[in-house]
Amino acid sequence: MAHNPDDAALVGRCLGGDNAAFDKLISRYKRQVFSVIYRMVRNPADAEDLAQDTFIKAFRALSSYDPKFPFITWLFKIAHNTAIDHLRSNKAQVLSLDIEESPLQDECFDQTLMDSIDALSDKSMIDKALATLPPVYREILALRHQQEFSYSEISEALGIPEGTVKIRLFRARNLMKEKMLTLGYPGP
Amino acid sequence: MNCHQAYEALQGLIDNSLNKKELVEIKTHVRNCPACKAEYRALKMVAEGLDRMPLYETSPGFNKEVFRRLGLEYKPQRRPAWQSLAMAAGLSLSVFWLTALAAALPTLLMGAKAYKLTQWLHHPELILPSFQSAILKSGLAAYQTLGFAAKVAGWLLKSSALPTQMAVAGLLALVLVFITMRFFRPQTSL
Ligand SMILES: [Zn+2]
Repeated sequence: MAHNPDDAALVGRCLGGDNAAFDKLISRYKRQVFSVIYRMVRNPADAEDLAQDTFIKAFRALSSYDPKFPFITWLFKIAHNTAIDHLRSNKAQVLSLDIEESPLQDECFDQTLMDSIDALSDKSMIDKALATLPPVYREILALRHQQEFSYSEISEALGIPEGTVKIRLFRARNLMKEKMLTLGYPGP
Repeated sequence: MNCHQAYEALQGLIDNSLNKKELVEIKTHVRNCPACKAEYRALKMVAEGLDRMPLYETSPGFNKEVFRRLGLEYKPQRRPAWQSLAMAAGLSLSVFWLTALAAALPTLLMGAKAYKLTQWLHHPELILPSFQSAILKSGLAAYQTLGFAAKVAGWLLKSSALPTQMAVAGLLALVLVFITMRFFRPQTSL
């Protein structure tokens, strides 16, 4: 996982009133935060707002950050809660948020929203298959495969036990596999 | 290991999270079970596709907007253009002068020696043409400057702040230019 050992020092400088240190932390992690949130909400403008919300909440809660843990998992915990709150406020998607055992239900998703995003994102098979997954599955796949978080780091960031991390991750990958095979991947 | 147990181990294999014993068990099973081999291939294909998920860029004003929403004044990290320019100028000047001094060192030492031989006269310009006198004087001045420059260089190397080093090196270069121009003025008037 890409985290930086001097994050804690930067947080210390922020707490001492050095706002330039916070500017550095934003620059360091904004792409990662934005990318994972975008995977979840699939709307670039919302994702940008929510990524900003994440850093604003982080700044206000900096004194509660424990430097024993990586700053980025703490930051992703805030990003996760911010994105989930946003999705919960969106009635069309709330059903698909948190039920591990529920079967995949395509009608849970806001099709118009997804269609409009499809025009912006690339049309690769992975993206098409990802688009059919519930947000929490898209999130855990991004944390594991894009951010290269370990099970324990995901557990820390999402506030769920490692056992649940494995169940969710394995289900997400199995769903991806089924979707991609349905879509004809890897193709003739 | 049966196929049911292999299901979780296959995922662990994808995530590189198995210990040695588990690794041997799942590899043995996959070798002998076409169904699990196919399952592993499919999962691996998915994982490799997911590993290529791109990172997305935020809009250019992202940091500034966060600061604005926090009610904080935003000062960009980038150093102002004039500072970068001054640093670049200082650096190139000091590199130029250090190189020039090193190249001219033997000549300068000879000049200084010659000056010492003739210093009993106190006023070489009385018996020498003015340009030769000026060259001798500048030789000695350069000799002394070199000693001073060595001291300054030592101090600069000990000082850790790069902007300070650059600023002083730039200043030194300007001083050297000034001194040289003064010493060579008699020649230009010839
Ligand atoms: Zn098997």
